Amino acid sequence: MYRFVKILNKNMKLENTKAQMRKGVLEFCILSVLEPKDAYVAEILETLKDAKMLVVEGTIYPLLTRLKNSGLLQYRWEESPTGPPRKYYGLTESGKLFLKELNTTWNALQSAVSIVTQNQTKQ
Amino acid sequence: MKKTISINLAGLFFHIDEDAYNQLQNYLAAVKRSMQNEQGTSEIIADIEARIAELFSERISSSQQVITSKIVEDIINIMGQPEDYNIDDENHNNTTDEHTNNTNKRLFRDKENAFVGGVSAGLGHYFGIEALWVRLIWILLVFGLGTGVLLYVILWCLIPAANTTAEKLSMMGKPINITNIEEQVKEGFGNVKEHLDKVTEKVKQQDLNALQNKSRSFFEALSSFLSILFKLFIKVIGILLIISGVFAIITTTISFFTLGIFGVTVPGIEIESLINTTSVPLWWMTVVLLITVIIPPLFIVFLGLRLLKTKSTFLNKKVRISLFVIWSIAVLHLVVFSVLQLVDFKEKAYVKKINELPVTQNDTLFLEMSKNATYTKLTYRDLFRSDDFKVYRDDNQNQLIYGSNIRLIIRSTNDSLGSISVEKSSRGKTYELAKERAENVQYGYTFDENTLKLDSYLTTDIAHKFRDQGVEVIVTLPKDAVLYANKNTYTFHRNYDIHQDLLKNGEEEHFLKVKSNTLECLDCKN
Repeated sequence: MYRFVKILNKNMKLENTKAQMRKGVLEFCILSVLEPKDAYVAEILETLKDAKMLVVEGTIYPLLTRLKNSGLLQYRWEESPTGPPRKYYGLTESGKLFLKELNTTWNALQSAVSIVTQNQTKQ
Repeated sequence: MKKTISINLAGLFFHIDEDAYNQLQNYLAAVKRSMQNEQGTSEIIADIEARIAELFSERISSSQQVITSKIVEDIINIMGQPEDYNIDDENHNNTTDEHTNNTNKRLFRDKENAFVGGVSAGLGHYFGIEALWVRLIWILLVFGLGTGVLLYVILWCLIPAANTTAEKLSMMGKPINITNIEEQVKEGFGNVKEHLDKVTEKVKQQDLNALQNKSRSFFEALSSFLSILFKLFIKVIGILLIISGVFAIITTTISFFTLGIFGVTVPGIEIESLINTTSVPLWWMTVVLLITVIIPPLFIVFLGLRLLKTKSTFLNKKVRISLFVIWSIAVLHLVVFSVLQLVDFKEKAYVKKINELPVTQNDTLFLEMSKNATYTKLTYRDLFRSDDFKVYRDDNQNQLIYGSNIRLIIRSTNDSLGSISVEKSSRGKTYELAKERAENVQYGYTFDENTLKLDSYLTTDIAHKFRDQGVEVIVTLPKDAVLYANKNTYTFHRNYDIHQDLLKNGEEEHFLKVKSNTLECLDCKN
């Protein structure tokens, strides 16, 4: 999240800002998607795209690997009925804790942002 | 119709159009580059490939269907541009910014466009001019006391080679961002596979030679220097070959044209038919000869170009083979022709006739050569012995072969009376033919008032053809006779010792007294 804020301060171009906002919360979204059950990439992508969280798919791959490398995610191979085995991602214990932290931060942030923006519109 | 390629993408089998394949591979390479700072790139790429495979199989109904470039474009739209894979992270952003701002060119050696070491190409990029001009300056400097060579070697050592894409871009002066890198990758796509193969080979080698790494780098540098030196040497040889080849082509062409103008085409007279034993016309033989001598220099030029450039469009393979076949046929033709020609000159026959010459002791014999009245109108070259022959028409319009292969020999005898021997000779396929020709040689002399006038020429009918016809005249004089030889006998008695000619060149126009086997000059100033 600190990254998100920092980026907001840094690049003030609209397109950039939009992309950065989206990308910044993407990690949070991925972890959220994986909270109820494990999923393979296509399923994660489907959820994110339905929510218009993601425009192009490419962004997710480096993120997944990075989350996995930092120990928040793990994956296992599972046979698929149609093709080669699939990578099923799931949260690790530390991933679950991390997500909890993020949830609180996000809620706080969200209310803070809405308060600020509402105040602005009232004025 | 399109060529397709079978690929294995994440364990799934696909038929893919060649252009679509290139597009896809290009895309993956660009993606890979955009994630250079990322950890575990190969794992990410594997995931991406798996996803692309999945998307492919969603888009085709059967395994027989081919992946087109349209499908690949769709996939790229879904997956995103290479930039989209780049997760914003502070460090990366900073470096990108730095590079983007730093559009200043840097000087690198351009090994891809190198002629020798890539210095000229690099300088060309740096100053924004064609490398050709830089090379021309080098050549001028080489002639200027060779400073160019030294300077070149120094620059070669000092300027680093542009190896990475980033270096290549800053060499060209383009800002380093992903679009440009992608463009660069696209440009070099043809070499990508080759390059990758080389890299894997190198890596393998490095594993094997891990222990020898230190010494290896030194020897690698040395050997690369030597190999470049060798390449330079090869190129110099190539230039020399091209120059000499072109020179040979030009000179032979010119000589053939002049030969055609002055040597062979005498109007109205077909000389070739006199030598030619076959029915092949002369122009044909000329063409055959021209082919025989002009094709080898063409190959020399080709070889030179080959040494300068690995691929030369000057002569393609089919042309080369055809030229070689034509050349072989021409050579064979010449060989057959020569053999036939030699066969017709195989046998030599002589016909000898000896007559008395009324010259006795103390008589003085005046000896001179006489011209042919008709023929001397046609040429300045009379009274001169030669193996050459000409054709002329006599007063009755008969075509005659005119030759001046007359050998004059003076000898002495113990008899009281002199003699003259006329020996005609000719060649032919058989002895009989040769003898017939010899008998048909027309040669005459007159003796009047102590003056012996020898024909300076022989003639024969054109039907007998030119077969090395010749006449040997031996004038035998009794001892104590006196010989006075006209100056015009000079070339006719220019003989080797083997002919036992008493009259020596330079003794003309003197009164010479005949002794046994020698002539004594009566009026020479000592």
